[in-house]
Amino acid sequence: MRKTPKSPLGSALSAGGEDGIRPNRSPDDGAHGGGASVRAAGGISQWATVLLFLILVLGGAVFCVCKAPDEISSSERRKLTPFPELSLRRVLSGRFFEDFEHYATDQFPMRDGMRRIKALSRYYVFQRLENNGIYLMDSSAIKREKAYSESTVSKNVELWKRILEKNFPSARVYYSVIPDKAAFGYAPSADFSALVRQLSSRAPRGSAYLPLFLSEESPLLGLEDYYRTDLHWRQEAIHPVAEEIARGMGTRIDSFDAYTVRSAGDFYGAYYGQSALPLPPDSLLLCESNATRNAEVHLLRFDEKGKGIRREKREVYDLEKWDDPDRYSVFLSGPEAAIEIVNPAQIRGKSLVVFRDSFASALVPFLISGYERIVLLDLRYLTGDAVELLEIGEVDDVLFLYSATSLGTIPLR
Amino acid sequence: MVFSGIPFLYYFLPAVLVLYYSVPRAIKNKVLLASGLFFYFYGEQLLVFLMLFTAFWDYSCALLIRSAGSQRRAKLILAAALTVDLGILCYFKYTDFLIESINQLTGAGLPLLKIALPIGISFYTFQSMSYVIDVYRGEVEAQTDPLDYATYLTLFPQLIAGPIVRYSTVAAELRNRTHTIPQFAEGVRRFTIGLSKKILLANVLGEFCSAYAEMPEKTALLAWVYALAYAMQIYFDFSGYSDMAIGLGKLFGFRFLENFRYPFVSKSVTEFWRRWHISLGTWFRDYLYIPLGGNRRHWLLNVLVVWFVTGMWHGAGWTFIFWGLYNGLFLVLEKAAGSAFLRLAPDRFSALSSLRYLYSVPVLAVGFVIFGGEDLGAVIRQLRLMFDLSGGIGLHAEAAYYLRDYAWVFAIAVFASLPLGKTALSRLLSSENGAVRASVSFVAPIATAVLFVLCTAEIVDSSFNPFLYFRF
Repeated sequence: MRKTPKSPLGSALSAGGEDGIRPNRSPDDGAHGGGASVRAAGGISQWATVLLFLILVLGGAVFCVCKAPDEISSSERRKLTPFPELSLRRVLSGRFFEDFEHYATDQFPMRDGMRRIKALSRYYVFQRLENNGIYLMDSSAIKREKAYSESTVSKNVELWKRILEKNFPSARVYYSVIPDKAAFGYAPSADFSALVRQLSSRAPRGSAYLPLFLSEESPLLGLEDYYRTDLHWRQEAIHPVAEEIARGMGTRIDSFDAYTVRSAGDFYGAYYGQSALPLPPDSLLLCESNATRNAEVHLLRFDEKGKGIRREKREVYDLEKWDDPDRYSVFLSGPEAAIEIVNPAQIRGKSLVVFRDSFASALVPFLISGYERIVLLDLRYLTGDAVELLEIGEVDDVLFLYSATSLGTIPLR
Repeated sequence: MVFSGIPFLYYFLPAVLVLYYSVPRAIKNKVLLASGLFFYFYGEQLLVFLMLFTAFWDYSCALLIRSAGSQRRAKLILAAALTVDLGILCYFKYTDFLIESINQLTGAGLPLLKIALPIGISFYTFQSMSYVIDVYRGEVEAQTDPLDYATYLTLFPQLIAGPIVRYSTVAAELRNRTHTIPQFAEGVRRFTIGLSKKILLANVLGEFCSAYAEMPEKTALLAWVYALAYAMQIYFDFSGYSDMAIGLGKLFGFRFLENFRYPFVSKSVTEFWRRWHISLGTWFRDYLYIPLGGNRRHWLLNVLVVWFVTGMWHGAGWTFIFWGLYNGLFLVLEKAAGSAFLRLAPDRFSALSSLRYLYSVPVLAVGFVIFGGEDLGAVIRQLRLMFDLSGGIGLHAEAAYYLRDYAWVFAIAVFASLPLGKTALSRLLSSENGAVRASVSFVAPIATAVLFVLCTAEIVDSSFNPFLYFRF
C-alpha cells in the first residue's frame, strides 16, 4: 500500500473516530481490581445492548405490522394517513413509498404516548420553551402567533365592505377584534395593536369600532378568561365582554344573575393535543337562562342544488356535539356557515347579523336576550356572494367579530 | 428511505436483520445486495438501474484492466471507465447548471432540461471510480464475482450519503467477515449515537435556522448565532449520518473508516479539513491532488483545482464553487504562512494557541454561510448582516426569546461537538475502580435504549427531517 503523505487536503487518520470510544486499557486485560467481575459486566453490557435494541426494533416492527390502522387522532384532531393504495404505477412513480412514509409515521403504535415522551423530553430534558409551537404560562398552553398578514387583513376588510353595500346598506355597523390568548403570554407574538390600527384605517365608512380588548382602563380579558388547554375563551368568564359589546351597540342584555352555570364535563382543548403534555382537563361550563332555553335555533344550509335553504333545528347548547373531537362545538353546534336564532320573548325587537368565527359561538348566547333575531355568518365557510342567497332581509345592526388569528391569517371568502 | 424514518427503523432494518442472520453465510451477500437495491428503489425507483449500470461498467472495466496485457491498454480502459462515470455524473448533476450559466452569461434563454439528481450519485460514482483506479494501480485485486461487486456498491449503510467507502476497505470483509456480539453491540451504540445527533440536535438546530430566516429584524449578533447554529446543524446532520452508516456496517460485519474527528476543535482551516468528511478529503488527495503533482510541483494551482472540484462536488451552483475556492484560499494562505503561523500559536494547547480560535471560528463560520446560501446574493446579504454593525449588535425581543428557547440545545450541541464526553467516558472506563467501570457498563445499554426511544418519539411527532447531504 502507498504510504500516506501529508497534504493540505486532509490526511488519513489512524486514530479512532470521534465516537469510537475505547478504554485506554481494556477492562478485559485484568489489570484492574475485580477484573473477572468487570469482564462479566462488560459482556453483560454488550448482550444487554443487543437484546434491548432487538426488543425495540423487532418488537416495534411486529407492533407496526399487526396494529390495525386508526382513522383519526383525537388528540391532534386530524385524520391519520391510511395504508396507501398499492399499484404498479404508484410504486414506479414513488408515490406509494411517499404515502407509506406518512402512513408508517402516523400509524406508529402508541402514537399519543410517543408524542408525550417527545413533549416531556423537549420541555424537561432540553429545557425548551415550546413544543409544536405551544408554550406554557401559569399552567395554560399558549400558541405563539408569529405574524398577521397585512394583505390578508386588507382583503378581508374589502370583503366586508362589499357585503355591506350589497346586503345591509342601511344597518348600523360595528366591528371588534378578539385578541389571541398569546397576547397575554410572555413570548413575543404578532402585534395586536398594529392589527387594530390597520383595521381601523380601512374599516367601512360609518362603522364603529368597539374598543373592548386590551384597554388598560377596562381590562375585560386576561389569560385566565381562556381555557387552559384551548385557544378559546371560557363562556362563564366573558359576560362582561358581551355586556360591553351590547352597550356599544345600544342594546341591553340580561345581567349575569339571570344565568345558571352548569358543567357539561371535562374538556381537552386543541392545545392539549398539540402540546402533547399531560395537562389536566378544563371544565366546560355552560351559561343557561330563559333566553337561551327558549331561543329557536336553526342551522341554515343550502340544499344540494345550492339554491334553496334548508333549516335544521338545533339548541343553543348542542349536546349532541359532546362526542365530537372538539367539545367546544356544543356552543351553537360548532363550525357552521349560517345560523339563525330567534328570541320569542322579544317581539318587534332589534335584529343583528354577526360575521364571526368560533369565538362568537360562546359569546352570542349572551346577546340573545337583547335581540329578536340574530343571524350568525361565518365567512370561512360561506362566500360573500352566498350571503345574498340567504335573503336575510333588513337588519338593525351588523357586527364583525373576529379573533385576531382569523382576521390576520385566514383569507375570508 | 432515510435512516431516521419509521419505515427504515421499524420495517426495513428489522426485516433485513432477520433475513440476514437467518440465511447461511454463503447467501448473506445476496441478502445485502437485494436489500441495497430495494433501499435505493424505495427512493429513486427506476434509477436503480443507473446505479447497477455503474456497478456493471466499472466491474467489467476492472476485469479488462487486469487482463489488458500492456500499460497503455490498461490506461485506455481506465480512461474509458472514468469518462463514462464522470459523464453520467456530469449529465445528471451539472447539465442544468451549465445551461443556466450560459443563459446568464449570454442571455441565450436556452430551456433547462430539469434533470432530477439521483440520490447519492456523487457518493457511489466516487466509490466506483476509486475501485477502478485502485485496480489500475495494482493496489487491489479485481473482483471476479459481479454480485459481490454490486453488493459493495449498493451496500445500503453507506449508499446515499457516505462515507465514501473504498473497495479496498471492505474487500476482505466482502469475502469473509465475522459477526460477534461485541461488534453488534458497538454497531447498535454507534447507530443510536448517530440517530440522536441527527434527530435530537441537527433537526432542532434546523428549526432554529428556519425560524431565523423568518425573523423580520436581524442584528449582527443574531446573524453570528445563526452562522454557528447552521454550522453545527450541518455537522450533526452529516456526522450523524456517518455514525449511523458505520454503526449499520458493524451490524452486518463491516468496518468502515471514520469520516469525522471533532472538526470544531480545529485551530485552522487545514486542520478542519483533516477532521471533516475525511473520506472525501482523502479521496481527492489520493485521486486528484497527488496525481496532479501534490506538494512537489505547482502545489498552489493543485490546491485551487482540488478545491474548485470539491466545491463542484458538493453542488451544482456558484455558491459551492465560491465556497470551495474560499476554503482553498485559506489552505494556501495557511501553508504559505507555515511555520510563522505555528510559532505564533503552537499546536499544543496553551493560552497562545487558543488565540487561534479567534481566527478559525469566524473563518469557518463564514465558510458555512457561503455553503448554506441559496445564491450569491443571499450569501452577501447574510455576510453584511454579520459584519455591518450599524444595525445594532443587540437582540430584539423575538430573537432573545428564541435564544432562551434553544439555549440548552446550543449548550448540548457545543458539548457534543467537542471531545469532552468521549474523554470523560474513556477515563471512567479506564478507572482503577472496578465499580465505576461496572456502573458504566450497566448504564450504557439503558442509555442507548432510552436515546433510541427518544428519537422514535421525535420522529413520530416531527415533520422536520431532511438529510442535507442526500443530494450531493
